[in-house]
Amino acid sequence: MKGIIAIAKNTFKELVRQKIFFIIVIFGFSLLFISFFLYPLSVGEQSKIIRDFGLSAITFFNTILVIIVGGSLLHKEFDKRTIYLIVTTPVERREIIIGKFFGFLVLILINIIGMSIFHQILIFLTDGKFDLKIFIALYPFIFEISIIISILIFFSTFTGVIFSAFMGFIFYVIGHLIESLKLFSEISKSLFLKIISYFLYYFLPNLEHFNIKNNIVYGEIPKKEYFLFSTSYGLIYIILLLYISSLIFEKKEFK
Amino acid sequence: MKKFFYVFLLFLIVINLSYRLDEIRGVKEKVEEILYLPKGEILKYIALDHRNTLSDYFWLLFIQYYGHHLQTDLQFPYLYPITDIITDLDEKFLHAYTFGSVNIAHHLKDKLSVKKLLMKAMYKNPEKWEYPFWMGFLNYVFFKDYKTAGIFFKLSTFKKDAPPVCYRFYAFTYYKKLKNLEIALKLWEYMYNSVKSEVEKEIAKDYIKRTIMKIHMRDLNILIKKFKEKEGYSPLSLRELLEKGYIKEIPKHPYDGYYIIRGDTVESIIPKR
Repeated sequence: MKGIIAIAKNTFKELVRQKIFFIIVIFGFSLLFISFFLYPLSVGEQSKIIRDFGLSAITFFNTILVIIVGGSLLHKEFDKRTIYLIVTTPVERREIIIGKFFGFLVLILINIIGMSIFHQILIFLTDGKFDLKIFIALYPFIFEISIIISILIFFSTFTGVIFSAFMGFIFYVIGHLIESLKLFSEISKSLFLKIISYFLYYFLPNLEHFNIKNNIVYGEIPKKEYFLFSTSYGLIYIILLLYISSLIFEKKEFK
Repeated sequence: MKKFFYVFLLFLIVINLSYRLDEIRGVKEKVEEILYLPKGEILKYIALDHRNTLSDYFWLLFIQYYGHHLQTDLQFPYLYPITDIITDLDEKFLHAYTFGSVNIAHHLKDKLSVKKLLMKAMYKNPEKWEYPFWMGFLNYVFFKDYKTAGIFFKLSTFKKDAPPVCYRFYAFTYYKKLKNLEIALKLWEYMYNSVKSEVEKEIAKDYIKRTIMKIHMRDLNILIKKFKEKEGYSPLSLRELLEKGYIKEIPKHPYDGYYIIRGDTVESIIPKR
């Protein structure tokens, strides 16, 4: 546990120093701010627009940040050769994986909270009241972003930075388009294709399970069961990915 | 300070050049570019989890398009296709459905497009009372299809959270109070009080005035007929109707114009704006 905390702290400090982190965060805040000035053009829809743009800015820029920065999480240690130093300490290899995951996740969480507070201020300036329901939309997003981080860590254990980032992006896209795979399996006449597409549909991460932005903007809060199942789905997927990553990382030989 | 000045100067030049390039290239309205995009159903996939934001972006372009044509040529050929894309991306966008359908009915008198748009709204949002009510409303006031209006007002009463207004208008149609200008006036007043945007309020206000004018003319024509039956000749002016006690006061013209009696009927004179 101590090893995980030490790695997480170190990862957090390292990431905070990266310039790309600030650039993307500034972009995110700028988009949030711009949405505030769109209201004269929105013909009575300023509340909806400020919520939609705000939620998109928070989710999109954090996803971009994760994909760009996440791919290099482990590779930095290889490039700087600090990994040799770490593996000689009592820290276990799986602790490195888990520590990296939590270090990065905490940074993203702070970023999400910061942007959400800023978003709430803009909502208050538009509507004259806060809309705390927006935080409900961001709760499942934390699992979505955690799955993407886990995917990036998973690919980082056996491939390069660019390929990991690319796979992170591909899984993000697939994760949101996967529901069409189910449609495909339903209309497919070939049994083989049906089985394959059903298998992929349930096996690949379905990130649409974590997308309730539309419902929240319209004031529709999903049932308790949704939160229970989506939390369980997210947690188990993350554990699965991190566990496989640890297994691969433990077998890895450092040259 | 000098460096800051150079940066500022370069920015000004860039802005100026961009403005000039727009003029040289004759940049078309962005909204028309939307029509070259794939259908909303396909755009939904491209937008991933940001469908609402893309829909909002198209909504902003749509409003610019609408505002521009409202002030220039009053031609709106793309009202339906754009609203269709917006509502494909955000199936719950109530205001896009209502704003779009009112304007299609008002400017284009296109019943088929209104029907297509609102049927989609009802299919995608079966629990909402607003869409059948709106369908009833538009059929009543624009297309004078009272039977269809009655069916949709009735349908709106079956929905959860249907407000009293649904029952009220269903009752009007049920008791065959059709072609009734007072009901049309009530519907327009309801629309005026419930819509969010100034544009829709203006449309509603105009129709309220039109309906009041029609009511005045209908009532005056009845009185002229009565006058003729009793007095044996048609009144020469409204003042004559007033003096002989047929009306308590001369009705105020809603467009600040006036009514005149020509022959056996009343005519409305609207001042040119």
